[in-house]
Amino acid sequence: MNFETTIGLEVHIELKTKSKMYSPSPVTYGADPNTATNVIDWGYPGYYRPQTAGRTH
Amino acid sequence: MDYYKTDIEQLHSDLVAGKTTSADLTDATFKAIAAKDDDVQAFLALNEETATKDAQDQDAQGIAADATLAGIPVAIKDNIVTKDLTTTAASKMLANFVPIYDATVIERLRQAGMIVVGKTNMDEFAMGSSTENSAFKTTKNAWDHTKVPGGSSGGSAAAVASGEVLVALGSDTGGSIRQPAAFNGIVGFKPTYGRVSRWGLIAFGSSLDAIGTLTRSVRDSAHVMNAIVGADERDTTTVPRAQEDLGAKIGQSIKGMKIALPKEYLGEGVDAGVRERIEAAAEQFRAMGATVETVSLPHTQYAVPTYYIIASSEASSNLQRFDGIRYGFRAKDVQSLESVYVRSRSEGFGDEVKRRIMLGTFSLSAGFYDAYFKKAAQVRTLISRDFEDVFKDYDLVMGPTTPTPAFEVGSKVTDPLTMYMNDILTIPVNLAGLPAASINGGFVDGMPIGLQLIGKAFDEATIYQAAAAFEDANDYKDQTPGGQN
Repeated sequence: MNFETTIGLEVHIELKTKSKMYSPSPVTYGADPNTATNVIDWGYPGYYRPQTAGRTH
Repeated sequence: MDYYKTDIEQLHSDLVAGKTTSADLTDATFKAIAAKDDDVQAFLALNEETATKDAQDQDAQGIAADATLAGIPVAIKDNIVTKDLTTTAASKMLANFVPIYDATVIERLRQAGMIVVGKTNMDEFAMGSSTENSAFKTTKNAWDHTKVPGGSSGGSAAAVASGEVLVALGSDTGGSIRQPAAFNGIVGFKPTYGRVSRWGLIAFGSSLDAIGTLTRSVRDSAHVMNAIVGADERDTTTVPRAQEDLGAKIGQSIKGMKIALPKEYLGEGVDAGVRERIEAAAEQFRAMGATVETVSLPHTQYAVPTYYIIASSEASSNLQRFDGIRYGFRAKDVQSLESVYVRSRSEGFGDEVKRRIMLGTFSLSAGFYDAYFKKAAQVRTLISRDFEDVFKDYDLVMGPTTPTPAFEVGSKVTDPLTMYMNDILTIPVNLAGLPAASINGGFVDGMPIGLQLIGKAFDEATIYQAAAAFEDANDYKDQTPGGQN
């Protein structure tokens, strides 16, 4: 039998940013539920997604 | 107080001189709405309690001499989110939806001291040209209640034209400010793409959507536009620019201005009466010392199909968020997750919205993308290039806003293609991202028609200059809907 080998990698990376990837909401591990969220995260009417990814400061 | 006999500058000087108060103006506005809106049906929600308090606060604070808009009431199209005030986009999907934040334009108007008095009717999610696609009510043309007010900002246009408010905000994706302004004989202004933040505008076609004004006068439009323009990091399409007065050239002579009149804008399908008014306007501009010459925008005929592919594709994406889960309408008695989505969207959206979601989803689907969306994006570039070529030699493009005056309620709502063709003269402007105004161009059989002035990107000032010159040379602004005074 003649197989072609294809390898896929699924990589999980925790970004060391102060905000979420496409939202200004803070990344605070262990924070109370619904305290690190905003209208962008909820897909609220009228929101636009920022193009800048994750604040580092 | 009679909104037909005043303007922002007059109200402002009366406020500063203590001849009137914001509380009085606000009270008079709600009285005018109470007297007229049973017939006109322009409003979906009134903000009486909060507006009254805001006005009293404004009075207590005092009206500064340089705060031109402070204390003056304004109406807002119902697809612009307002904190603690229902925002429905005229859809059953968002009936009773109360936002927790203000759109950027609302923040800026509040900062300028304006008083938000209510939310105006529109076509559902801004999809339509007659406001008949509202899930809630049918707004009437201010001049003739058997006719449509245009759309999708029909409520804002009818509210201003019938004297309920002096100014209103609208949104324009393919003509939704200019066409209802034309049908109601008022001034509609759509700024350059990137001039005004859409943060808080319920998105329809994000590469086309613009927020602008509906007012009775050119000067009032410039005052309100000046308050809402400017970069905003929450809408990354906004362009940072030095502070400028869009009305800076109002009052200056248009002698030597070069105006282009595209032959396609007076072609087949344009009503003879409308054509006559536009040709008369061209003569007036010539008499003021401008040159008006016939040019060609050869790709105009492709604008409508191009627009319906691009706008519908973007709408199908933008409207995915309405899934019945986090907010808004949810179907009752559903048994599975999939049926929450399917039934909430089937029952929550109206026919026109569903039509465009299907058209857009089809245009974007694998196998059809190249033939439809990609082709439309290419034609869009050709349409933009038509304008670029003309603007090498001219300062402005003029033409009618719509091919006909307002049509009868019910006459086109069952025939989408005929309805879509009504926007043939406004759509190219959105595809090219240009600024444009519609001002009262006179009357045909007692109904107003719109004179459209299109400018170079970020050259709103030249549009306002020519628009003010035309407005001042005519008495159209002083004519008001009969029987409603």
